[in-house]
Amino acid sequence: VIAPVAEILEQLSREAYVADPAIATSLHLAQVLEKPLLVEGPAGVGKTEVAKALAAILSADLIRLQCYEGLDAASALYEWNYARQLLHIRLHEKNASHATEAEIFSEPFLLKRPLLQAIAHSGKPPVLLIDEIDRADEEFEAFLLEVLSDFQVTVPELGTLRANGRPRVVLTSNRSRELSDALRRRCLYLWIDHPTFEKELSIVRRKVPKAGDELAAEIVGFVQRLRRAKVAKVPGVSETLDWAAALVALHASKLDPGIVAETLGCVLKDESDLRKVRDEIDAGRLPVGASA
Amino acid sequence: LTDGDLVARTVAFCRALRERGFPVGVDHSADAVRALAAGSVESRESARLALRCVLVSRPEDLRVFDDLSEAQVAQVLDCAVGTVKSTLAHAVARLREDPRLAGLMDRETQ
Repeated sequence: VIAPVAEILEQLSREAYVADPAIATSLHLAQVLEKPLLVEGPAGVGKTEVAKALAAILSADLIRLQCYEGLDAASALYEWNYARQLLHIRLHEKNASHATEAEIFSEPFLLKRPLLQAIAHSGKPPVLLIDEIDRADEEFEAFLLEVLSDFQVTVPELGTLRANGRPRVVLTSNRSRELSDALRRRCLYLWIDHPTFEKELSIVRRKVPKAGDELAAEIVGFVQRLRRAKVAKVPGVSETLDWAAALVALHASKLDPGIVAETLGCVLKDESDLRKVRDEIDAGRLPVGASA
Repeated sequence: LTDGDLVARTVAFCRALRERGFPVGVDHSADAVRALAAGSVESRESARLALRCVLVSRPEDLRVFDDLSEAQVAQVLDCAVGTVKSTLAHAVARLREDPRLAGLMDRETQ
């Protein structure tokens, strides 16, 4: 049974994922239409968390394929465990018998990588997270399209493996490269932008409850101003949360220029951004705290 | 309103998007009808979000979709909001037979 959008929103909230109707709608439709969901948006807005939250509300296992430059089909699908095969052969030689090919090319010697894990998964279909697909190359993207269309894989030595139930697939992209139209057309689409003040505030309250209301509002207000200040590396929600946790650890109850200068490294990861923003604060052009 | 209206209006809406350069194919029209008929549509706003999720596939199209005239979206949506889950199978079957869709397919293969 697929939960309606309103119920998904509630379930996400119970999982401490602060969602909005667009996110809940896309998770609902990914189940109704059985299509992969492509999630795009700037770094640090919680794209990966969408897949984690989906797995949590479905009580399904999460299988993650982290993409990187040079990722190939073998590392995503399966490899043979050569070391174990060799050992098996040696042991047989010692016992004056010999290992058959069928033995060493059987499942115990197969190293299942994430895509095969998702296909060969027993029980409830898992959630398959294909993280940062834009970091893999176009060739891999084409291979992935094939796998996503029929969820079956042929291992020459073993035969064809088929998924029992279709895994729920979530792909994320930071847009470091344009994805092919073929992949886009195959997917449902969700764009997640930096959160509004209200949404970010509720995220901080959920995730760092020890930062009181006043401090939380000041933190979020300041980060929102930073995003508008055109820094080179725009902070994401994860940076806001790191900062909030650091300020709580330092027993801060409100922001002042001193403590901001001391802890700004939690939010800004770029040296020239840090310098620029510190100058702005010193010059009084970037207000800190409630007076803003 | 009948499910036939929903199909016709969804197809027309998809065509309007195609004319604006959206890579929306016949499969998307079918998905849009299924999405609207799947009971996920409780209000005009939720129907709009469902169509957006199905029919937009590139970030640059998001604004175009959001800027489409209210009236155009409303035509499809008011119809969708009035259509119930039980008509899903019927609606999808009709969509497959819809002569206007046949025209769409011809255009796509050209």
